[in-house]
Amino acid sequence: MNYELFENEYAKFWVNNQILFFEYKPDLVIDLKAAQQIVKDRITFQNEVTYPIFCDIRGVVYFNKASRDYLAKSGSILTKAVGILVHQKVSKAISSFYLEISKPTVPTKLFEDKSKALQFLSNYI
Amino acid sequence: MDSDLNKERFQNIYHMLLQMGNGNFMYRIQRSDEDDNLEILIVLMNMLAEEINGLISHKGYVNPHHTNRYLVQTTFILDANFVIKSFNSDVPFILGFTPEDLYHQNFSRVLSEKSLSLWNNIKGDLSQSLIHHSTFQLTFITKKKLLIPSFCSVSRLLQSNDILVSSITNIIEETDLPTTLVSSTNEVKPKGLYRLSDIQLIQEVYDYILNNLDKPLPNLKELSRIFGTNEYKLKYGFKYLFKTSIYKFYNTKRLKKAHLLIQQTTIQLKEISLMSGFNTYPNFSKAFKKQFGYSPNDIKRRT
Repeated sequence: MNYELFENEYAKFWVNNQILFFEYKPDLVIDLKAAQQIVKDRITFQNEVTYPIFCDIRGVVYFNKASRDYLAKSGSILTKAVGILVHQKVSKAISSFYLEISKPTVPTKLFEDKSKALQFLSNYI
Repeated sequence: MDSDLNKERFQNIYHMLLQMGNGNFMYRIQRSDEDDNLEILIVLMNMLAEEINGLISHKGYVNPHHTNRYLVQTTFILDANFVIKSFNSDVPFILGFTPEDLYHQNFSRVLSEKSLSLWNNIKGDLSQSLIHHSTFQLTFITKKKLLIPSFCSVSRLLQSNDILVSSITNIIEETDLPTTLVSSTNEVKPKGLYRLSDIQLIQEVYDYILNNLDKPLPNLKELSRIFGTNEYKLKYGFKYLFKTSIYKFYNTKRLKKAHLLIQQTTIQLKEISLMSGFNTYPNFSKAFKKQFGYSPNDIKRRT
């Protein structure tokens, strides 16, 4: 079930080869409300199944503190690992800060190369 | 580095650093579309200011991984009889009532006893149109009977009999509540908890608990063994820094997680209780009811 595409205001996500692909929409600033909505929708979408997550954050301009803390803690529900895809220096800096300071509770790594991210996630299938 | 844009960006960083030097972490630098080293500095400074702001409001040592929301705007719209017609979405959250509890109630229901006489005066003045807009110190009362002293502006809307009451309020964080109930000795630093390494250790315990909400919490003795410290330091240090006991913190966090899972998934309640570190469903149900005031069964589930 639920293998179709889900879309809300902030992101699209779908499951392929037992990996959940999560793609943020362009030009977003994520605040607590957005983060809560995203986690809520993702959990609903996954229902009982835990996945490794490929997270494409290239569309995000900024995550504020409240959203970083929320995503690092509650954001890990029903996730095995997270591979974050970044493309710019700035998105890389934001994500490094997130890993270092907010400390997500599941294994999380940054990638500039999609295939390397998928390779990392395949260890958690 | 010498273009006009870069000069301006550099100026912004400069001013922000001076503000931070003065202890003001409320400012943020306007972002640009650039993707260069300067932009990295800007975004990191913004994030740093947010984090420091969180730290200094929490005794300046530990990172509680949550954001204090001290200032929140509440807004009520009352009809000509001072009955609540509508309110913004923060109101139920701040006052702890469900929206249904509030609609069609007298506004005085959310005011403390002490504020009632002032409110009656305001009502009188509004009815006789003696005032159109004024500000007052009113105290709200939450469902759990906690007081929220608030600075309110009361005004009559134009072309309408409706009345607008808006406030900036202080949220009393759950973890801050016991401070008035416990003796002042709790404010004294526990002996031995002066070194940064001790504080970092307690931060590690805090993070460990958050990462292990799906398992039963090891007892204090076991926890102190895992972290190579003593029970006294752990127990009182945690309480001093986070204003709650280790068990209470763990229990609240796991129950909130369970609540989210019940609402958003169709996973069996029994399974959720196991996922939340409970050994039996009845234990879970009991703890859940104690935390939220209703049973796991009472939550409407997806079908």
